[in-house]
Amino acid sequence: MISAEDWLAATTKSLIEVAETYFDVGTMTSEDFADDGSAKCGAIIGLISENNTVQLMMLSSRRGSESLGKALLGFEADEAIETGDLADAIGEIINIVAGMVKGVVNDQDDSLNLTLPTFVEGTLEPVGAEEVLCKVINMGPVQTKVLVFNGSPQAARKPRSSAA
Amino acid sequence: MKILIVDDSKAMRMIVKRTLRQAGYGDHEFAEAVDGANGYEQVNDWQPDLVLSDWNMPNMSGLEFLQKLKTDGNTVKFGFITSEGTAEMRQMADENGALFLISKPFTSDTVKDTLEKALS
Repeated sequence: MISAEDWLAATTKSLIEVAETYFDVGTMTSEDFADDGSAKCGAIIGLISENNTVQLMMLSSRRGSESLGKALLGFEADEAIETGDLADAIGEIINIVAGMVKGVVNDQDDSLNLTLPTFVEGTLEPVGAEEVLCKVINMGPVQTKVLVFNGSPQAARKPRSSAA
Repeated sequence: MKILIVDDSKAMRMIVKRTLRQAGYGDHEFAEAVDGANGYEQVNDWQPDLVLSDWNMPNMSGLEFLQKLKTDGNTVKFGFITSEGTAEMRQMADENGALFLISKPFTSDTVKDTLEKALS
């Protein structure tokens, strides 16, 4: 079984690499999105095999996510971004991250399959016996939570920690 | 050169185009397709010189798309740009006639080097 700590480390490292590769941080507003009061939104994706079931999530404020989406798509900071484009952009970020994570943990589990990414708004509450870990990183000016919902049989025997 | 970009993500199609421009391919012609089935139609209609395709897509995957082209005897240059780049996928891509597989995230330098080798 791959530990939640390993999932979180691989996801965080991959998300930072994606941000460094694709985001034109210079075009992003310097406004601090850490706690701007807007709804939380992000994207979630699963990696599933016989021995491991995990969901990886990135979560920012709505306005922070819009800033990330616009930076990815090459929009100007003051341009509007439609929800469909935002969902596509944020979903693609987590999709790329999941592909990278799959490569990182390949020596521990080479039979993982990716699910389709899903764009979400609000917060997720784990149900059942999931182990949840969270790390906060800054993608340019956008504070982003990296969340791991580890639902492997091993995690079912561990106590739950608080989520987003 | 006519380059067809096939990806179900609009964001990724935009990133690929932007990266191609950064890699020095800005004066080439681009067209886009949203999945393998749409890509197959556009290959026949538009007749590109190069296809850059995602692997995991609805309706028809990138691998199925490539296999359909090969079954038709179509020799268009074909490469994958995809989120996953496992050794197994690289082998499958190679065995089915793809020129290369670039895994995301990629830089303009990676794309430039890969295309130069593949197209030379």
